[in-house]
Order: sequence, then C-alpha cells, then structure tokens
Amino acid sequence: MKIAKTVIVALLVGWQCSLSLSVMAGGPKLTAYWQRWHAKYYNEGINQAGREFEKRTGCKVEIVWAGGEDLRLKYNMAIETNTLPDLGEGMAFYPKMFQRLGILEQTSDLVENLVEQYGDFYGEIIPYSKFGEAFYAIPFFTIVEALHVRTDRLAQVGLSLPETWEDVLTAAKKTTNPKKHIYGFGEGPSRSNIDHAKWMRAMLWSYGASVFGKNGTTITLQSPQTTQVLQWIKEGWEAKIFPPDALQWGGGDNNKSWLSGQATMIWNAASTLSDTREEIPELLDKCTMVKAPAGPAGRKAFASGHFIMIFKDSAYPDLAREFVRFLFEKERYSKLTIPYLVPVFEVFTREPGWEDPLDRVFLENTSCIKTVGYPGPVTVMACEVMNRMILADMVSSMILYDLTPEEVISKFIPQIEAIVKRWQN
Amino acid sequence: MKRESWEKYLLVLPFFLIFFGLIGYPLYIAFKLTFYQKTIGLPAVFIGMDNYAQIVQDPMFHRALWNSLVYTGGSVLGKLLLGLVMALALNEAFRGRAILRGMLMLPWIVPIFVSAYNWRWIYDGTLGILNLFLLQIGLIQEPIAWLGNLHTVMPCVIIANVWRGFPFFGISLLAGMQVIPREPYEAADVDGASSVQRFLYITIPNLKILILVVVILSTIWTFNDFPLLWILTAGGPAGVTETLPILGYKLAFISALISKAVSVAMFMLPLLGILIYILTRQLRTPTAK
Repeated sequence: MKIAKTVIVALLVGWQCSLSLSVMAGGPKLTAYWQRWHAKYYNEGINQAGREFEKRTGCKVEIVWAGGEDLRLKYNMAIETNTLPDLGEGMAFYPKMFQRLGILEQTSDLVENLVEQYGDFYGEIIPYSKFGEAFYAIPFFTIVEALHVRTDRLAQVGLSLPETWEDVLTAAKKTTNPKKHIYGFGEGPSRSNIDHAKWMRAMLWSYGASVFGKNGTTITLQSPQTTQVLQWIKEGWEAKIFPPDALQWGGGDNNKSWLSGQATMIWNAASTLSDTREEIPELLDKCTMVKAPAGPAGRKAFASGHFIMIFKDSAYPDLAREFVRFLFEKERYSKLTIPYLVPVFEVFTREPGWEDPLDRVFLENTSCIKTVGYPGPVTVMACEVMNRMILADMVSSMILYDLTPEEVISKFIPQIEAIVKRWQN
Repeated sequence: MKRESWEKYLLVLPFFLIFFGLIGYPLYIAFKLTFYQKTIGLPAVFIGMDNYAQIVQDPMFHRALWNSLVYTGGSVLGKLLLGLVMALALNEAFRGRAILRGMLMLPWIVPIFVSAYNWRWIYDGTLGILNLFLLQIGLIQEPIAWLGNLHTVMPCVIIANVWRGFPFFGISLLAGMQVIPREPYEAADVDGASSVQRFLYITIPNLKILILVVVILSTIWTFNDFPLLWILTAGGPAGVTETLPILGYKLAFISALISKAVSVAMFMLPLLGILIYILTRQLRTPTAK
C-alpha cells in the first residue's frame, strides 16, 4: 500500500514537472476569452492577430471563443474558481460588473497611450470603462444603431423620411398590411432580443424619460414621459405595426424581418446593412439608413460595444497590454471593424471603407449615443435591469394583459426597487 | 473469510465514491449555500433562512411555480394519452408495424435543440407553417403569434413537449401490453366484452404499475425541463412560460445570485422527493417485479 502511494505521488509530481517544463520551453502564453461574432471575417481576424502576435513577440495567444450567453457563463465559472484568463473581451456591461468585484487590472496607462497615438474616443463610451478616475477596460469597438427604412414603401404612401418618433409611428401605420405580411416597425418587446432593449431605451431617452436619475440610484421610470412612450407602443401595437410574434422573437429575428421584406423599418446596427449587401443587394436601391429619430428631448441612441479587460491575476500583464496595442495597429484594426463595427477612435473612421453614405449614418449616430445608466453613470443596477430585460417584460405585460401605461409602470417598479436595494446592501 | 469481507467493501467503494462525490457532497454544498447570500465573485454571507423567506414572498416565484405545475401537468397528461394510443395501435398486428415503431421513436431520439428549433419554425407568427396551413385552408384570416399570445403560448409549449415525450410512454406501455397473458382477453371474448371493456378492465389494471412508473419519471423530467422552454420562449412573453428551472437559471446566471437560485431549486426537492419515494416503493413491490 505504501509503495503504491509513493508511486502515485511520484507519477503526479513527474507529470506536473513535465507540464511546467513544457510551458517554460514554449515561452509565455496569453489566454484570452473572446466573444464570437456572427461576422466570420472578424473572428478570423482575431485568430490571425493571435498568430501574428506570436510571430512578433514569441508569446503564444490562445483565443477561447464563446457565444454571448456562453461567455457570461464562462466568466462566472472562471471568477468562482479563480481561473480567469489573462485578458478577456466582452459586452459593455462586463467592465462595471468585474471592476466591482476587484478582479480587473487598472489600464489607465494603456488607454492614455492609445489616446496619445490615435486621438480622443469617438462617441460616449468612456462611462463603460472608466470608474472614478481610472480606466478598467479598453473600449474596442462601438455598436451603433440606425433606422433602416424602406424608401419604396414610404414613397407608395407619399411620405418622406421620418425625422421624429411620431413620424416613425405615422409611417409605420400607413405602410402596415398584415394580409401581405408587411409590418411598419420590425421591432418588439421580446426578452430574448437585446436589440429590443436598445430601441426602447433610445426612445425613452429621446422623450426625456429614463430608468434611473442622474445620481444613478433614484428610479425615475414613473414619469409622464415614460407614459408617452408606452402610449406610442400601445397605439402602434393596436395598429399592428409590430409583427405579431415580435413579443417572442429571438436574437436575430428583427434582422430576418428586414431581410425577408416583412418590415418597413427596423432599428439595428450595421450588421443588417452588411447582410443586405451580401444577400439581397437589390434591396439597397429601395432602402436607406436614417439618423436616430428625435423626440421632445432630442435624438438619442443606445451605446453598446465591446471592451477588452486585463485581469489582475494575469501572469503577463505587460504582454496583455502589448497584445491590445497590437490589435489597434491601423491596418489590423481597420480590417476588424470595417464595415460592421464603429471604431472607438475618430481617426479610424477616415479610413477607406467608411465613404458610403449609408455607412456614414452609423458614424453620425455615434454623436447621440448614451450609456446604459443615462442620464446617470453606468451602475451595476442599470446593467442588471438591462440584462434581465425588465423593460421588455413591462411592455409585453402591457400588451398581453391590456394594462394602461400607468398600471404597468407601477407593476414593474418593485422589481427595479428590489435590484437597487440588493446592490446598495 | 476476513479477506472476503474486505473485498466486499472494496467492490462497493466505487459506488460510494461516485455517489458522495457527484451527488451527496454537491447536494450538501448546495443546501448549505441556501443559508448564505452568495453573489458570483463576492464572499458568502450567512443570512439564515432569508433566501427561503424572500422566495416564498416573491410573486415571480409564485408565478414560476404555477407555470411549472401547469406545464408539467399538461405535458404528462398529453404524453400519457398519446402514448396509450400509440401502444394500443402498435400492439395490433399489421403490415409495416416495425417501420412505424421505428418512426414513432423519432421525436424521442432527435436532439432536443433540433426539435425545439423546428417547433419555433412551426409556430412562427408570420411565416410559420402552422399559420400558412391555417391561412390556406381559410381557418384564420390573419397569422396568429402562437408564442406571443397569452392564451396560446402555454398550450403550444406543452404540445411541443408532448410531441417529444410521448414515444417514451408509447414504447414502455407497449412493452407492458405485450406481457399481459392472452387468457383474460380470450375469456372476455367468450363473455362478449366490448373492446372498450377489455381495455378498461384488463389492459389498464395490468398496466397500472407501469403507468405509475412512467408518469412519475416523466413528471420529474418535465418539471426539470429547461432547453425546450428556453429555446421556444425563454420563459416569455412577460414570464407567462417562466418555470422554476428558468427562474433559477435567470437568478444564477443573469442576476449572479447563486444562493437564491439554489434555494429555488431546493423548493423543487420535496415535491420531486415524494415522487421518487413513490417510484422506488412501487419498483420494490412484488407486482412490479
């Protein structure tokens, strides 16, 4: 028994030693979690960057890919088991959530370095990465929406391009024809479609409503402005401007609604335009992209994007910084962003590939983007309200149970209050 | 003799290691966690019974519990009825019976995400085949949002679950029917019993234990069902199909409230525990053997 025990221990020690030696012999290695994007060229571009970085520095880069939902699980597991990678990329909510847990390396030096090289950031995205005086994440790209409009359908009913949300409602009503499967506005309040949370916030803000106030903790949803927005949606639903199953749409269903010719208008990022170019180029003659519709409080759009974070426990924080700088090298970064993703530095928007007026609308809209806690700071509360799709559930309830805007707001306020109370504790 | 008793324990050791390693210990940890406030990434703080107290008062929990009961009850009943029909049909001798048996097993064999996405497509509110079919035969004038309608969404997800699960009932009951002796049926024929009477007084009593076993097993599986519902509705719209497993998932991985999510799961234990107890008791009775 004693001999067997000794043999097992010896084998384990030997295995560990050989593992360590092989790592040492292979040089340093960076592990990075990365969200898989539905644009293959982007995913391949990141992999390629990893290979090129290894050639230049001798440091191997292992990119661990995961879809949006899986990435969240991956991070959760890594946090609980203390196995976080050296660096990671992800949606705009991650930096705030992770900074609060104290697992992120401060990266102000790197951000300053990049700003020195490329100029100021483009659009209001800093609140997602700078908390207090320090940066904890590096903005990598911004996702900006624009109103996609079928000009042929508007021409048929004698309307010009919508300037305001009221114009959108009028145009949507006039172009809706359920018998022909045509719906004016291809969005909805589904809890499975993050785009729905974005257009509802864009609209709320442009009417002067918001979930939280300027201090980030006071709930301000109960307001005449929110009632106005909900009334707009209710009126639209009754006029059937939304596809009937939009209440239950999945992630890309609004894109499909546009590509199939079902929707006259959708509120989406440039991915749909890119798909239109690739799959239905003939549609390009019948459509255009329009700036964020205005409300009584001006034009607003939801700022989302992806951020790179370096984790505190990384064995190679300097190499991780080097890899980030490497990704931002002009040619490489342009290849990754054009034409899907809005660059985080203005200088990159002057690169060839952004000349098309349709693409430029997304760049123009960057001037009116606001972060999740608007008009307050980015808070974990605001992130959770967004992630739990509480606004989508609120609007769905109003439609399903035929509630008045006031009734449904009162019904959902306690859910938001519970989130605030929990995080404040 | 001594060596024999030592070997006896050695042989059952793997079972105990697996049982305690994979079931006992995780269950203990999970139970312990319910007495703490544990958010992902933050240290656990002891709060006694607070998690349970909060859940009991939470309207979202009440709704999820009710949805779970409706979903499970509707699905199991549907699967039982359809399974019985399938078993009765396949118990008769006819040409192509073997092929039909194989075909009817398909819903059970197909990976769950494939069938869930197919059902999504069938129920699509505008371009789904169900709407196209009903429009074509003139039964409806406008497409119906099957998964976005308060009155249709729960029946729709139940139908999808029934479709997926009835072959298990069918094939199990068929196996049970095939071991029922012929004599009682022959005697019933002599007495002039109708086919309904034969079914009610001979077939059903002989299948009683088997029905109980498959119903309990299916109840446990359906109560814990996650992927089908998640793909079809993610618990929506507005929580109309949010069951306890979906609520638990959302609490754990969206709100990062691990201990509260585990507490929701713990609430399911007593009900499932009773069912498992009945199941094991039935399996141990001489009749079941």
